[in-house]
Amino acid sequence: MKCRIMKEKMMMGYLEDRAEKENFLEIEHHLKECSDCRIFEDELNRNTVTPFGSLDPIQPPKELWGKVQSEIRELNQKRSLPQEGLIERIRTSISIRRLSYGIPALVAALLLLTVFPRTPVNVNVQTEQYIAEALGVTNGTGDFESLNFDTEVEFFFM
Amino acid sequence: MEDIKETTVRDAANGDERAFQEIYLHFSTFVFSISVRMMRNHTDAEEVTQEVFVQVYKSLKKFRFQSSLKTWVYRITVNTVINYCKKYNKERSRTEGYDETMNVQGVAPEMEQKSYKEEQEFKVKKILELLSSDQRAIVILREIEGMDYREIAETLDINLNTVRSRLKRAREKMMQYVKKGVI
Repeated sequence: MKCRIMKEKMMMGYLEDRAEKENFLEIEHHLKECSDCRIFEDELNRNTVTPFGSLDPIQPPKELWGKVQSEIRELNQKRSLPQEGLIERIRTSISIRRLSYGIPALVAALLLLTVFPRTPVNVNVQTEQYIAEALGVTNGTGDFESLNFDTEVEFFFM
Repeated sequence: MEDIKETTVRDAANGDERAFQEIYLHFSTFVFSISVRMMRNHTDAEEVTQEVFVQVYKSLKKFRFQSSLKTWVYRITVNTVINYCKKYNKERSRTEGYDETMNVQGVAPEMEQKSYKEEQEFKVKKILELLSSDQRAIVILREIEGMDYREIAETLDINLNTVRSRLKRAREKMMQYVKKGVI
């Protein structure tokens, strides 16, 4: 049972990752005691790690830059057209990094658009009384001066 | 690999060709190496590399310096190559009826005339062909590019446990093929 777990951990790369100290030390300790797992470790290295170790990076052909260059020149030309430039700017400014962020944002926007226009405006009872008084609905005077507006703004919105 | 200066990135994003060439020279070997190892031939790898750099150029304005440019370029590279591979494999299986085991066994005698280095390259190519594109990407980043698990997770935009489980599946597959004598 323990050997199976150790082999799985080795395949998951814990033996090569010293940052995961606990797992690393556990496997290392087990390998000291278990010859079967040592054989497995050797096979694992020989077949899945060592073949990749001696490879050199592969240089791209020199003419490849020329191809990239002509494509980016074409792009620059398109960007200089006012219509294309504007479309790209809009696309850049509203770009969503991931679909998983985009979907909740879209749902929230739709919800706001559906719910918000239908929500009744809740006017406070006191405010209603105040307006009614101001308009003279209750006392019948309609005298705005008697309401003592303190500011121009207050008067304007009244 | 050192990262590129911020001013160079900004200049390239604003259309400075020389600045973009600097970015190209900095990353082209990595992009091309990954493409060659993920694809089956150099022609496709060239096409993918070109596509990666056009994509990088187009998206530079969106780069916010929240991650390193290196990780960002690596992510574009791996995503582009994986997408290309998936598209390519779909077309290939439709047109050729590809049998990976037959293919590996059929070309094995060629190895006899090759040097050790070529032999290793050949072996790696065959191993990688047996893996899915997601597994192949993990193995290349880990074993050839020498990235640690956190860098791989960041590059592929997946969590650390996914990196480990994909690596495990890739290694299991490789071990199975060894037992069957395919590799």
